[in-house]
Amino acid sequence: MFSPLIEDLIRALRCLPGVGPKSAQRMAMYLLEKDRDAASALVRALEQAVEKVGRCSQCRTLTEQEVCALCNNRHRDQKLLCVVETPADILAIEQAGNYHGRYFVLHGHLSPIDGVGPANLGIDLLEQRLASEPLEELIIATNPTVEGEATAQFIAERARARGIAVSRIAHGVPIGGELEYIDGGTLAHAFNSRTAF
Amino acid sequence: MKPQPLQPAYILHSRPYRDSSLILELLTPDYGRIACVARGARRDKQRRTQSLQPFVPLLVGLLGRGDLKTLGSVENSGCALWLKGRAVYAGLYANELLLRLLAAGEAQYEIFASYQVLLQDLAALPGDSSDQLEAPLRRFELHVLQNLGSCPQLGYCAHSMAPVSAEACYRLENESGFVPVYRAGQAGACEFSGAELLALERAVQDGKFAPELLVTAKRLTRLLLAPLLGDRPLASRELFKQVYRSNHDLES
Repeated sequence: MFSPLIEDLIRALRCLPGVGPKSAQRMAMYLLEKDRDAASALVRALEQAVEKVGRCSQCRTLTEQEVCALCNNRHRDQKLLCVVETPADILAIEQAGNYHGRYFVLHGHLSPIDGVGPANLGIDLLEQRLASEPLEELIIATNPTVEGEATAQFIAERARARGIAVSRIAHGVPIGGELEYIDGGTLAHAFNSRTAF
Repeated sequence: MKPQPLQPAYILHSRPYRDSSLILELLTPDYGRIACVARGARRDKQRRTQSLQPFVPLLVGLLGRGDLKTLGSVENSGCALWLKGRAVYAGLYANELLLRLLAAGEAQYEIFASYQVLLQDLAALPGDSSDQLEAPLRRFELHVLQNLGSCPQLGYCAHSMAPVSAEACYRLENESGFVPVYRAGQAGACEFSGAELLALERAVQDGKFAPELLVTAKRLTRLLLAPLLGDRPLASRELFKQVYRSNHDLES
């Protein structure tokens, strides 16, 4: 229906999550018909980002610097380290705003059946940090899924062997939630890890 | 089409499919291992992904005629089992084992039942030591092998067609079972004493393994699993080895 170049563009746009054929077509038409400047800017931004963005050498988050801004920030608490699964988790924790330590990004979780092992998660880099930095507490903030739990267990054993205190973020009833609608597993967990009041 | 009654099921594995769906591998009594698509499961984060976790007893409705079903309604049945500490590795190992061994779509009532027993045993463990995991896992492996017809009757001699005698020594032979060995001397890797076989048979029933029997049980299940698994090793076993190895490194 379209000329080959436009078809290519539509196909390329469909690699984005949540973009099907129809929305890809609308995006392509918009860029070509209405806003060519934005299209050129998009091209430049994409090219720059793909070429330059890599991983921080300390925390493995996405950045174009050798060491990311969070790791370079000397006002962050050097004694706390928080392990998360994805860079998006860092963003979520930063927005919550009450954690002032530093991070380590795994980029996934242990999943033996899918062939994801400790080597894919940069555990050796994490161990180097555990050995060389004056850490007092390691906070494990992997997702409360089975794989997240297996990952947490793996990291916790390594950190404890080095004498570092390990904690796991709590799972339980969300604020504003209603007990009636919460699944049994979460509720059982919330009861098991209840705190003194 | 008449709606099917809900099936008891456990999730063995899930992987992302398209933008917002999941493909689940389920263990059910009526269909054994079966794959289904959970449409929109990743979009509706609050409601569905919470219950679509391994080791959670579910009741599921499966729609469609082909091999790949569509997941209909899902309910939690009974209390979710939360495997603590290292027990979660054992659970992942059991899931991978079932994925590798079970053919899709064959009824597996016995295996479903022993999987439930395994999860209950594992959930009762504190999970701080790997040794506790051995007995429930060996029992589960032997149950699965027996139900797949890959484990000869343990207390039975294939030559004399009679129960094994505790003093004799037996060699495991593929296809036929345990045959007596008359030569004296060093026992080979495929050889088991009659006493060991009788003790194993009892242990599979009651789940109580003496420590030295666990070693024998591991030797036997490795021998029986090897031809079924072929040359592709179990990834969760490799992971477990890494856990062990690095802990030894740190301690030494």
